[in-house]
This record gives sequence, C-alpha cells and structure tokens, in this order.
Amino acid sequence: MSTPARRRLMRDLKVDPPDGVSASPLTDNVMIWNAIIIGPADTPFEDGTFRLSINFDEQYPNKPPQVKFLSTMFHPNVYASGELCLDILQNRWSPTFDVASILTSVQSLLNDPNISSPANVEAANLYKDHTSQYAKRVRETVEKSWADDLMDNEDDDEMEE
Amino acid sequence: MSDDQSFMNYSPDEFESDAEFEYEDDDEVVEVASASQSDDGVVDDDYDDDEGDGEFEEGDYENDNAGDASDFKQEDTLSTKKDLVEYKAHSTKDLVAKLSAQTKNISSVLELTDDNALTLLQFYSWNSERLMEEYMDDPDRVKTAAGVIVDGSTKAGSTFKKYNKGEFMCFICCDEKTQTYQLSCGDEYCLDCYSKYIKDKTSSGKVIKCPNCDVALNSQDLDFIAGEGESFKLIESSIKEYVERHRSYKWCPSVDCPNVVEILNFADIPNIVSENHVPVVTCNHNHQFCVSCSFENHTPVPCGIAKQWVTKCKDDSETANWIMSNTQQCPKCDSSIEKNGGCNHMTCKKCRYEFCWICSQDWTSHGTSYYQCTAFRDNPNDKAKNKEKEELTAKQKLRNLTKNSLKKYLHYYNLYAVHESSTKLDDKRCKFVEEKVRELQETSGISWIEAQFLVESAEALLKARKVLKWSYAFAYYCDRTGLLDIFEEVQAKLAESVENLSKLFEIEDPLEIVRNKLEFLNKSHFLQERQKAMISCTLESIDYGCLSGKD
Repeated sequence: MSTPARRRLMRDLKVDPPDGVSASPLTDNVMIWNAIIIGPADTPFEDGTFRLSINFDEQYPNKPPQVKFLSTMFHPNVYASGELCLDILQNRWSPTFDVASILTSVQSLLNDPNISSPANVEAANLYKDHTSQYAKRVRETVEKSWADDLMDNEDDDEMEE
Repeated sequence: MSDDQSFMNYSPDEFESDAEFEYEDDDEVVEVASASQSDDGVVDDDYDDDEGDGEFEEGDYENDNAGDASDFKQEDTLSTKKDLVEYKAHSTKDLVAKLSAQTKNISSVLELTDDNALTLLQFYSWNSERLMEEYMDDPDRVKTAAGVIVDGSTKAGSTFKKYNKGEFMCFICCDEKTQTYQLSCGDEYCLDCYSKYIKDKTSSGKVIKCPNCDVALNSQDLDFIAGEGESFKLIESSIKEYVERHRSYKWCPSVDCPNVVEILNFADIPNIVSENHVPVVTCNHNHQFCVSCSFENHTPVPCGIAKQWVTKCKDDSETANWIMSNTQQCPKCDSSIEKNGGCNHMTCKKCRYEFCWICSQDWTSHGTSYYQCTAFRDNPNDKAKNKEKEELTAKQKLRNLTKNSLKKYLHYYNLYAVHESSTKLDDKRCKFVEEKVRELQETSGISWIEAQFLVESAEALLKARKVLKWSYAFAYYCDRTGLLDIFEEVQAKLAESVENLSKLFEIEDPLEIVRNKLEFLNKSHFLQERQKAMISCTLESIDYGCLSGKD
C-alpha cells in the first residue's frame, strides 16, 4: 500500500547517502531503518562504526521519526538508553528533512555536542573540564563498536557454514 | 473573536475609542474614572501616569456595587496608594489592537512594511527595545535572522502555481500535485503539505518559516495557504507569548476567559499582599480574581492563608470526602467508623457502644426484631428521646471540635465546600434570572434600567457568598479567643442574610419578582452591609493577632 510516508521513504532510499553514513530499511518493513554512522576523522569518534535504528510512523514526514543509537555511546547528548536529544528531531523538525539529513545532523552532533542541555551529565562534565579523559572514554566506545561489528560478522560466517 | 478580523485593520485610534466605550459601559469604572478625573481620554502606555482615563483603582474590599458603595470608595481613595491595585482590563481584542499599534509604530520608525514589522516583532517576542537596538546596529543581520527578505517585499516573491497532472512532484509528500505555493526563496511545495505544516505551527506564536530555509511566511502567505484567519490565529498565539513575557499582565484565571488584566503598579503588589490586603481585579467579563495568587477573589482572607487553605484542601479533600461518604460517627464517642461488611449491628471499637448502622439508635431498642428502624413509625416517645440524644451528641461534637484537629478541619471544610457548591448553584440561578430579566422586558414592558435590580442583587449575592465561604477558611486558622466569638456571630448573620436573599431568587413567576423588587433591594443592601461588617471584622481580627495560621 502506498501512503505518503512510504512514498517518501522509497524516495529517501534512492538518495545517495553522504560520506560516512549509510542506512537501509529492514527487508520486511520499510518503516524501520538500520543505519551506521562512521565517526568523523580527527575526532575521538574517528573510525567508530555506530549503529542506529530509525523508526518512522505514518505521520512522517510531517512528524520526525524516532532515532536511537544501538551501539553503546559516550556523548553529552545521548541517553543511556541510546535515545538522543537533538533539536531537529523535536521542535525544529521540518518536513523537508530526510534520512540523509537526519544522519548528517547526528554525525555532526558527535563532535559538536550541545553542553547546555546534557542527556549524559558525566560526559558533559568530562567534555568541558577533562578533555583527555573524555577522549579516552569515547575511544572505549569506538573499540566496542568494532568488537560488535566483528561479532556480527562471525555470526554471519557461522550462518554461511 | 471571529476569524475574519484582520489584524492590520485595527488602527490605534479604533483601539482607543473601543476601550473608552467599554469602560463607559461599566458603571463601576465610570464612577471611579470621574473621581480620578479623566482629562484627556487617551489610553497611554505610561505606567506612572495615574490620572489616565480608563484606569481605575480598587481597594481590597472590592465592593463595587451600585451607589451605596460611594462612601466606601471614599475610604479607598483616602487610604494610602500602596494598598491599591491600579490596573487596566483588556480583552483579547484590545491586546490585538495594542500589538497592532506596536507593529505600526515599529514599521514607521524602521521604515518597513507592516507585515515585515510584524514578523520582526514576533521573532523578537514583542520586545521592541531589543529589536530597535539590534536593527539600528545591523538591519540586514536582523532581517536575515527573522527571515524577512532584505531587498524587495516578500509579497512580490510569493506565487501560487497550477500544474497539469504529472508536471510537479512535491518534495514533502512525493506525490504528483497540481496546486503549489512558492516563496521568494524559490522553495515550492504542494498546498496540502504547506497547509499541514502551517497548521502545526500556528499555536507557537512564533514566526513560521519556509520548511527548507529561513524565509518567513507573512500573513498573506498564511491566509492563502491555510485559509482565511490563519494569520489571525498566529497573532492570537502571539498574544499568549506577549502576556507571558510581561509579568505585569495576567490572564483571567476563570475557565475559558480570554481576558487580560494589566497591572499598572506591579511593583506594589508585594506590599499590598504583606499588609494583608487582597489585590483584587475585575476582568472585562466581570470575573474577580486576586492577581497575586491568580485565584478567585478570596477576600477577606490574606493571600498567604488562602494559599495555605487551598493546598490543604487539595491534599486533604480526598480524605475528607472519603471520610464523609464512607464513615459514620459513633453516636456516643464520635469516632469515625467505616462499615466494611457484615450486619448493621455495630459495636464501636473505642467505647463499646452498640448501635444500629441504619438509624444510629441504641441497639438494645431493636431487641431481636432486626431493622425495625427501616419502617416509618411516628412515636412521640421516641422523638423526645431522639431530641435528647441529639442535644447530647451536639454538645459532645462541640467539645470534640476543639480537641480534634481533623474534626475542626472537616467542620470548616464542610462549610467551605457547601458554600462553594452553593455559589455554583447561585451562579446558575443568576444566569436563569438574567433570562428572566429579558423575558420581563419583552412581556411587561419594563425598562432595562428598572430590571437591573435583579442583576445587581444576583451579583451582590454571589460576592457575599464568596466572602462567607472564605471566612470559614479564615476561621479555621484562627485561635479560639473572645474575638472569634464575635467573628462567628458576624459570620452567622452574614450567612443568614445570604440565605435570605438566595431564597428570594427561588421565585419563578416574573411578575411576582417585580412585585418583590423592594424586598430584593432591601435584602441585597442589607447583605452588602453585613458583608462589609464581615470584612472589617476579619481585618480587625488580624490586627488583634487572632490569625495563628496553624493547621
């Protein structure tokens, strides 16, 4: 069945994703997407492979989707649950935003956190006052993201055997 | 306010004449305005000017009925200025006119179109000073930030377009649409998507921008896309923002009342409150409220005590209600008893008194024949016995009242609650009476002026009942001294005259009502006197330190 939300998502799928992000819907449900953001170069997040899920409902694109990190994150604006606090996903949402622009915004949020309204207070404090500590904690999550990747790949390998 | 009213049609002149008319409509205002001599008839923004027309003063005793209040008013004017709230009552329409005047002012000073000035003001949350300052600094930066097109007007840039099927694909809904709208920025979307987008944002009171860039939509754009009146809705939500940003403006707290009161001596409010006066104002719909608490007029109770009482009622009212609806008092020792099952043969756990749940009589009188009490028997002996018992329990109740704080609370809460619900009933009754007045005018050829006595009496009744209601809250927080006995006597008298007048309103026949005109006038005048006595008695009690404020 074709609804405005589904039509938009099919179009979003045809748009080439920008560098460092990739996203695709589940094979059986176009309303749920999995995405990966590569940590931007020259930042503590560099080369991390962070996974996200994006849940759309029929209100899209008039209402924003729900975006959530699946990977463990250490970032001032990401809650322990993986949910994130980003203005364009709440009150500054515009119906012209698509999957690519959401992911680009999330990617730029990684190295440019909003300290005034932190979701993770510890991360915000370290970011402000103890940069090296902060970088160290972030690197830990980057390494964890690789390990998760590796495990997934092994799973795939086993499946093939 | 109807949707078809365009914001820009309100000129400042209209606003003034409008306001003037409304004030003249209100006898209360005319009275005071003449006392404080209106010289120019200009409604100005100068807060310090206390001689302006349409601005009126009111003391703590909010008695503003008819002519008999005139001597009272003199008392008001004699008292020091600090006791009075000075305010202007505004309707939403007045505020729209005010904002419109402000917009016109900005557009002429900054040499902008009205539409652009409106956008800028909305963007700056109606802070003219900041807007002017930053605009003088760097007009282009301000305009760009607010989304006002720097060169040329936005109006010329917006276009409505029509396509044949298959020619245009809307970026938002990904559907082929035939009707689109394009702003000067060149971004073009179908009307359906645009309309949804706008309707989602009109309640924000903020500038609505192009979905893709910073260009602002002006009122023509809004009205064209989302239908006539949409830009007006944005203005209305703008008013909310305006009122919330200006602390001297207060919304009337009555349900669904769209009126606003502007307090001219906002800085004096804490002083008024600290001197145990209630800063009461009246909105354009004749709702009275306390500007300090944003709560109904709670004269004669000082703000602090009123707050304490309201929170207490909020916390305890559920408990009180539950106790009232689920328990009975033991006829002997007055403990609250909940019956959680079983038969009606009750034995009080405290005093071991055995009684019947249904008739509250001693169980021994029932003997073995159960529930005779449900049958009606008119036995004179029993009646006498009952009376005796009633007197006895009444005495005990009185004794326990002072002992038991919950009892004391329940006692006053009950009275307070009874009068609260009566106020609602009275209010209904008064609406009914207003209907009657209209009927009277049509059928018996009685003039409007002559029929006014009913409306005035109704108002007097409502006001007095409110004072009475709050006096119970006051009594709860008082120490039991000799003065309280006097207080209670005054209170009882007020209650009596309230009920007397209330009873008069039960007359159904319009002609009978007219015949009783004198009675109405007498009773309401008497009631007002007693209300005054109640208020001054309360203030005296405070002065003598009766008010402990302890729960």
